[in-house]
Amino acid sequence: MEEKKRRLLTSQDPAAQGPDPAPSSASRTGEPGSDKSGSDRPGTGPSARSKLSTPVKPLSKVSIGWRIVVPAVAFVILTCGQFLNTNDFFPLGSLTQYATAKDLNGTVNSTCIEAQFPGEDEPRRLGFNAATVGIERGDVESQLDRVIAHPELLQSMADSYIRLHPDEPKPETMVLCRTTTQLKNGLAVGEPEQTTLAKWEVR
Amino acid sequence: MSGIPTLRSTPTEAAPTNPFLRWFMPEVPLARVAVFRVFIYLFIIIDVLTISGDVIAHGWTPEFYQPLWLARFLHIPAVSVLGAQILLTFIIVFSLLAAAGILQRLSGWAVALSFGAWMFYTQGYGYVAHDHMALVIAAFVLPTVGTARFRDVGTASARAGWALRVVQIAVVLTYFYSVVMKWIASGNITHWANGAVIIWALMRRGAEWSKPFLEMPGLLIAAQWATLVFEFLSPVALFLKGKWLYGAVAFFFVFHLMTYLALGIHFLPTVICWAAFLPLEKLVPKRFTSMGTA
Repeated sequence: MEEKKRRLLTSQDPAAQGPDPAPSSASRTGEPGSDKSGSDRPGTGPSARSKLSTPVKPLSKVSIGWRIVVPAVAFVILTCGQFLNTNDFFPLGSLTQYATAKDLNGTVNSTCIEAQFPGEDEPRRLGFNAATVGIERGDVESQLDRVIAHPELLQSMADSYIRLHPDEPKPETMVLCRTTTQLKNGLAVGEPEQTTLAKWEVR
Repeated sequence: MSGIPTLRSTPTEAAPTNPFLRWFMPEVPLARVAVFRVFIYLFIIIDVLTISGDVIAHGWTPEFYQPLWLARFLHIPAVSVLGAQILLTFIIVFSLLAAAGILQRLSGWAVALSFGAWMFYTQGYGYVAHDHMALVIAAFVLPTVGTARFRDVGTASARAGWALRVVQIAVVLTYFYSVVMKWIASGNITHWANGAVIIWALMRRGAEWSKPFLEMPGLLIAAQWATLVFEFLSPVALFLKGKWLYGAVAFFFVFHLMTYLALGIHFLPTVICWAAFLPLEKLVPKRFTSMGTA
């Protein structure tokens, strides 16, 4: 009460009070930057509290409660995302990038996209990225079975290519392909083999 | 006795009385959040224009839309080119306001929601990258801090400490849980470490200068073991102090620089969030601080 009266009389901002008798928790918890001298720490010196400082309200029980509960729930979802191996809970999904083991004597597959243009003998390899065909290689690889089963999806990539390259010739055929490199003891053996996964006559 | 420990209420600051809360909600200078906020919001602009800039192109390929759970739950449709451009404008405008400290709570929430929607549209087309986890979480926790200004070097806040701690935890879990996932996906973690993952990555997307490493599989296997070890140990960063902490942050910076140079994988959305570990208020010139003006 006395404290409140004094504040009212002096018109002082709560954040502009004198030194906190207890040491700052920043110093207790070893927070970075907490190795400063006392007068340089939050709430420890008279000069540290100017009227320009933003007032800080103490956290209520409710504020503390949701700040514990929400991260705890997020942590549980993230953990479940790993064990269920699903990305569906993004941003709290499984961290699957480069998580699958690869055999040193296995194969390295890489999906590619080609387009046959008028007047050209062979299909031409296109950049497999959003700037070229409207979608990234990784996106297509993540739904590769669907794209192979529904090659009409390649029409969408052809349309994107045409819209993104208005001055280029229109492709006649889109070819989804795969290069396969054989490994032996981790070293590439021979030249990569190319196979066609899906083909689509562009409308 | 109350189930939830309370914070001691003083005229100047609230100090947690429980050891866990003192760690989970440490009082840190508000100025640290003010600087961190500039880092995050400016980076979000860079992110939506470059790293996750495929959203506008996704407007051309709606057939590939594979909405994630929350997008399905909220019935968020595939993005159109116009919709993506409007969303992009919205994110940039509000990120600039938030970085400048204008209407901090409002602009912060506007960024969180619009950037969250943007993430659905960059990650909802098949491939889900996990380098954005900490950044998305940062976008959602920063507005909870409320007003924080550069001059608040001398003002401690548990709200600020909580927000930064949550980002820190998200950062280390990005690494730690990737080890867990490697274990789950491979069945036996040694299969992953002794396998050909880096070889596979180098063959698919390696830079020309890094191709000679394909002739040294033993070195690449050693690198896989090293990666496993430091990813597994990453939570230790939450408890490091001083030079050890700076060293850990620098180590992860260098690691990501190397993966960028070799594979084009930069992980920048996570890298920027490592700033949550640092005493960023030291970047504020003295003349802008409360102490400088007092």
